[in-house]
Amino acid sequence: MESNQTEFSYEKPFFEEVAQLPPDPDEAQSKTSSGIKAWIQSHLLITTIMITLLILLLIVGIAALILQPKVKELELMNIGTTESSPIPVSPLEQKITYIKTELNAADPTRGQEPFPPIDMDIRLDSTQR
Amino acid sequence: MNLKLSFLASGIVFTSLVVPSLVWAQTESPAAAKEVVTEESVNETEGTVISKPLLEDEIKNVEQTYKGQLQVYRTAQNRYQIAKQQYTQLQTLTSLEEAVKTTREAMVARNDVLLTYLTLLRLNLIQATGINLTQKEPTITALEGAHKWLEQHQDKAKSANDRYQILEVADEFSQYQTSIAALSYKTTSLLAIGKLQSVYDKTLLLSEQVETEVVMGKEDVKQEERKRAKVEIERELSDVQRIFSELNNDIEDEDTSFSRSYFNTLQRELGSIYSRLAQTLSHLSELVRL
Repeated sequence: MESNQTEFSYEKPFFEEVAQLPPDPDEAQSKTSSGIKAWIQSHLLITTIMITLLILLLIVGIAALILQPKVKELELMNIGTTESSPIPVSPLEQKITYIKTELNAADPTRGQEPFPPIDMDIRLDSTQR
Repeated sequence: MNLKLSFLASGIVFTSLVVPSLVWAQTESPAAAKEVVTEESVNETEGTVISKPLLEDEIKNVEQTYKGQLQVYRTAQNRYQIAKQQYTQLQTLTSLEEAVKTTREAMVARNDVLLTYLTLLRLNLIQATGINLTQKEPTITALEGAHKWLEQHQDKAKSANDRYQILEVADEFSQYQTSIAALSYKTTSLLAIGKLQSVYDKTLLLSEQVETEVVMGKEDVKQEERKRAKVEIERELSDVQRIFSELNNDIEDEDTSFSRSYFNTLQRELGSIYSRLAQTLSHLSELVRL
């Protein structure tokens, strides 16, 4: 058992909790505002890029909406006159495409009206008179 | 510093995305112009290339009737075969009565099919283009004659009440059946030739137009190449014309017997013409782009 009580009293201050001072309100506010500024500065690059992309997407979307009716109109004009093949660049090519369509319709292996599948010799008695 | 950097980055992003889109927009402009040209060309070609069908509706109606009559015929034919078999086995008066009745029904149904088929051929022939009038008109007349004969024969078939009258009607039909089949095969042959002849005529006209506008119209370094291409196309068209002449001579020949085998041979010949015309059109397409 320890008998030296003075040693204990000497070490006491080391085991005591340090008293915390209340924070200074001005210092805390300045720390917060500088943190936000740092955050904004570090994310400004990404934010700007995202806003730019958004604007571009809007521009492309509007342009697509404006151009779409025109394309549909032209498609409608071509219905009934040409097939959905690539659009020829000249009237001559247009005529060639049309004649090709007519040629396909004239394929001799199909589209013919074959002789009807009927019995040409219907009779009750097996021999002719 | 960071602010400057962010502006610089946004500038780069904007440039890299906006400039290509502007370039894309500029490249779209000629395409739009191309579409306008196409639209004009459609209008330009409307009067010359597109032809309106005249008897299309009537032909469709007759086709529907024909299909329905084929169904009726198949049923009647089955009943006739069963009754005939029963009569052959049983030889009773009841089975004879049933056999006479079903034979008459089968004959009438078959004649109906044939009558409609002849009508269909006649309408198709009237509407067809690319057939020589010297062949077309006599064939239409022959079809009308066959139709009239078959109508009279049909009346006899409908009024046949006993086995002897049925036999008489069957004998009459057998004397004429070869002519009807031959006439049908001749008509289908003419129709098949006519379709391709029509395409050939249009290709020939187009070839002449290409010569005027493309071969002679443009004077540049590729003109000689175009002339050689045109010579090749002319040779192809001349080959096709030769085959057509042979086929037409065959059809005009009175000794030619039109049958299924004749039609099968003709189809092979027409297949050759079809391939040649397809090649010629591809060559014309190439020539126009030269």
